[in-house]
Amino acid sequence: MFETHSTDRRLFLKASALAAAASLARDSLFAAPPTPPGGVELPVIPDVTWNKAPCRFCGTGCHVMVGVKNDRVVAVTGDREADVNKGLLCVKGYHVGMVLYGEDRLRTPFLRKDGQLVPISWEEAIAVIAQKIHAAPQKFAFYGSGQWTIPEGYAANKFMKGGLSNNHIDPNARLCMASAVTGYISTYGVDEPYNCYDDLDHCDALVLWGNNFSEMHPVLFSRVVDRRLRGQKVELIDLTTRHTRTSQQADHVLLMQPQSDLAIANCISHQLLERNAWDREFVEKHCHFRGPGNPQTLKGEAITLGQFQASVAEYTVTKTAQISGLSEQQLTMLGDLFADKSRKITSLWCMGVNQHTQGTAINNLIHAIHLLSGHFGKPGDGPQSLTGQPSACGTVREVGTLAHALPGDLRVDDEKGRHKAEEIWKLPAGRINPKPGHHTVLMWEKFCSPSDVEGAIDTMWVQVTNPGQSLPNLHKLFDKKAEFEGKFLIVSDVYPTATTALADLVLPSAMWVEKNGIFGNSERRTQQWFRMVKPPGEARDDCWQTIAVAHKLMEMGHAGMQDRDGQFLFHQADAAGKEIPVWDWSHYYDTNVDERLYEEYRQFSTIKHKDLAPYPVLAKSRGLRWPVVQQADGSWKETTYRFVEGTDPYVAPGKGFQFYHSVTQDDRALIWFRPYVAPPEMPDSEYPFWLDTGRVLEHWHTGSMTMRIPPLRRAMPAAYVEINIDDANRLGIRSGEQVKLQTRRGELVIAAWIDGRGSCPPGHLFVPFFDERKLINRLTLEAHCPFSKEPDYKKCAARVAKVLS
Amino acid sequence: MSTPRPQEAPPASSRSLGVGRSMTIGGAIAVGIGLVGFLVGIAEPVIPQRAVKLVAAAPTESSIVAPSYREITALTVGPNRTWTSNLASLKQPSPDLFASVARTPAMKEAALRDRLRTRAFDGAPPVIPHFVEQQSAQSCLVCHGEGLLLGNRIATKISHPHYANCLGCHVEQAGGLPIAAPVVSVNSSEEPAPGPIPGNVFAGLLRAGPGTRAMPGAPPTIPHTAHLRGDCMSCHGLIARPGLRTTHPWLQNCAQCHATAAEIDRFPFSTGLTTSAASEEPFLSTKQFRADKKPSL
Repeated sequence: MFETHSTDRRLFLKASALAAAASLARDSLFAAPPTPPGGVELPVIPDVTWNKAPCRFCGTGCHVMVGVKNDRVVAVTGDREADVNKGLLCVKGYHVGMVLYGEDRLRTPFLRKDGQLVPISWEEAIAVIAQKIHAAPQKFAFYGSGQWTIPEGYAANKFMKGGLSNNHIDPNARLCMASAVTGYISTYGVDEPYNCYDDLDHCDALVLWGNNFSEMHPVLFSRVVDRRLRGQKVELIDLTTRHTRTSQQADHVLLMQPQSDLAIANCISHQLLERNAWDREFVEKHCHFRGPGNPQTLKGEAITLGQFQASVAEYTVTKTAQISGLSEQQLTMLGDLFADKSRKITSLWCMGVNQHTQGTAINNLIHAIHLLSGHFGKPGDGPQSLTGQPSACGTVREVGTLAHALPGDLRVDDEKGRHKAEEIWKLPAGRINPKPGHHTVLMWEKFCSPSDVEGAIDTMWVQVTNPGQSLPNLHKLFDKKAEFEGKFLIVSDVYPTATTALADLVLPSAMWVEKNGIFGNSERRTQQWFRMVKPPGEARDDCWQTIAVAHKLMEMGHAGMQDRDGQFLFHQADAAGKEIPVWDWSHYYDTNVDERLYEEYRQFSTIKHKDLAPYPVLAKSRGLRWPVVQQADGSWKETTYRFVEGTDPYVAPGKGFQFYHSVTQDDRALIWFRPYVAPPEMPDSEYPFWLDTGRVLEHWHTGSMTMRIPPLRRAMPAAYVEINIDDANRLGIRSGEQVKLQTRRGELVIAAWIDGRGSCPPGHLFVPFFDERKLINRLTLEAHCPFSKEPDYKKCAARVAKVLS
Repeated sequence: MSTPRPQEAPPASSRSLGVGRSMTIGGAIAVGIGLVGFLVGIAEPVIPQRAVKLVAAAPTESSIVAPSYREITALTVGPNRTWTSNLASLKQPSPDLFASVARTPAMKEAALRDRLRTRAFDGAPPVIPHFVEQQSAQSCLVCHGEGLLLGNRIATKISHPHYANCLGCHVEQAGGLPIAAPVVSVNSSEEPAPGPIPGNVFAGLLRAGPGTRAMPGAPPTIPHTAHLRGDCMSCHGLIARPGLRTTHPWLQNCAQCHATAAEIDRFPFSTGLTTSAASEEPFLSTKQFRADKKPSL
């Protein structure tokens, strides 16, 4: 039952503490494995229907084949026709079918009445939301997700920016890859990687920037280590602050001080220039140099080669060794590597670089060393950012569900962009608000503030994410909501979470193959799937929820819910021109709403040469990498490498490379200098440890799905704090003992683990954030990158002490 | 084992030089010592006997903590710590390629049941029924590279040696903190961790069913996917569950007689993965859901 989450569940957990402790004697678990339901006498293959879908979890975008029997998912295998994973999955992917069947799936809407969440009807739920929004449309905010499907994000974006003239819509991807976006835009003038996973099949060296590739993108990691197994030489260079499973396989483990990645990258640029080993021809033809400006800005200022050289000259090997903790030999090795034109180098990064108070800067610098050294543009030779959510690229970056953006890389603060969107959406001129809305951290700060402050948010609708666990500094940005009157939190989700615990209205959602969907993965690949099973109880599609609220608002007289012709914002008509009432759930699947929204959205995709394939073409493929361009014979061709002649159809013949959305509007990319800037909070005598947070292989995001998958939960049952053996000995801490972690923002009692999954150097602590009972984000810092507004979950100051019981 | 005595000194003919004599004696002693050492070295080693069977004390609520490094020497803490460490008793005769294989339906049933103990559904990667203390592929392959039979335990041979990033797909059946389970702190208001595993009502595909035979006596088809199962001997060889062993292990080219079933294996060219054979669309069409527009809620 749902109510058990807030009250009874806690008691239940306490009551079962003894049983849990006893049952966790690990031997007994091995001795008594679970009995498979139904025994083994089931020859079932012939009745199973198999269909393709992208995996529900990370940004890799593996395709799975989903086996369905009697309206239930019964099996999942890797899809051998998929380019991304070539038949292989990771342990999460193999068990992805089980995400649908947690016993506590939300099946009906709940409204909080007198402090208790009580079941209500969908009609009431939709009416309550519409009334809340109608009462104060500008005090409403929509908090979305990189797990939104493309049509879901598109509908929400259109509803907010095109309907309510309200730009307070931002996704959890702000916490995840916003720095990669600002990095790409300020370097190439347009977002998203120019390259793709094919690099992993061709590189001679793989440089991992703060990226535990082995656990976070296991299928892609396998693609590399399996090459090594076949006897190919791929050198793995792991730049990291702690020893991980990736480090175990690495040829060079470069254990660096947090934040020193900035200095290391500049040191590589310095060495390239000092040795005259930079690619003069490539740089003179295709690049400009760029400095940060004073104070630093996103766009910076043009500088000369001489100025660039002088700026990076400060980062000598000797000085960088002091900042980074790497040896001079290790730094020279990196210099040698990038100076060597004969080898193909791929750089990869994800949260370590993006969740960084200088996130934009370090993104700029990684691109810079590749451009400067000419390790760019050939298969296996270039920089590529990875994403953590299945549609962070598709739904957030391309659909523009960020507070400043519109679909197709348009911006709300650009008049032409607004006009273009108004034209496609058939809106009266001036409908779209020119002022960017609140970014994530600000949005939650304004929600956790009194209603009378400037820019206050009173009603928040959360879809497909769990901010009650994933926001930084939770006490300030989430828990505080309870202190203020008139704050209304709406949560659409599939299971009870840390977010539904504070929600005033909970909506049960359909998930994954219970609905039609489209995702966009890390390598520009747009992937489509069809609904295969019915959602449980009264769970309904998130996209329908948005459309139903929009229609209710229109009924209540909100003029914004109609276009300039007086038609509903999400008007759909059948072949005879008769309106299909898609806001009515019983008619939602009368048509394929996904296909219709996607085809409407597709008009935006050509604006910045990110052309998407038509829906029917997508439906037949295992995803296609944009720009997807129609050929003379009518077929549609995807693009492996953008900006590169021969693969990108938009590069003019003879150009070689053409950065056709260049910041400087002359087809050139920018080679950035950004200085090393110390992190805002560093260990001191009071809080002497670095605290890093992150993930483990078995669990995805906040664990609301994977913690309900028994094989994954059993493999990694709870969060822990990883501590160095010397620190543990000094503090009298042994593995398994409870310790108290404290930062200036909060505290947490948690079990210690010495040299377990990974191992921390002295003075460092690591805690994974998947465990809703161990909310490490009550301790983390909300300080964020000035340009991307992405917070730094990877470094703050903490102390740790043994709990004496 | 008898200890040989040092050999006699050489005969008197070489006594003419005193220095030479003492050198000869010294040389003889050195040779003797060397010989003793050699013979001791090649002898059967003494099997160290443990007087007490080492079993970890049953954990209690307050005492489940990890041992210190000093304590580790006195404990068996590795993956096989629940065994007695008497290697002699675990010694197995080498599997005989030509020994007759007894295989009854009951044994087969038991083997399939045992197989499912570590799988969420047929086709899921098996979980690891022991602790993992070393995480490299090489350490997995020490036992699983060629397969290992030790006592009544089988370390299955890897069936997909070209994919060896083992821990990306296979996780511990019960993982987490080593040795110590996280316990409830008496003074803490924190919820205990970990709590009971939330229920999951997923009911997976459990087994493929038997293969088909064209006629009595014909070799059966392979009733399961061969994807990621490059080495049949992993499950059907001599180091495998008895109920699944092949009756003819000396014939090594399995696919010569046993055909894979295309519809099960879902080869790219077999578009038999559609819901109906008549359908030309490769995947479920939206139309099917239009017919289904009022889901029973």
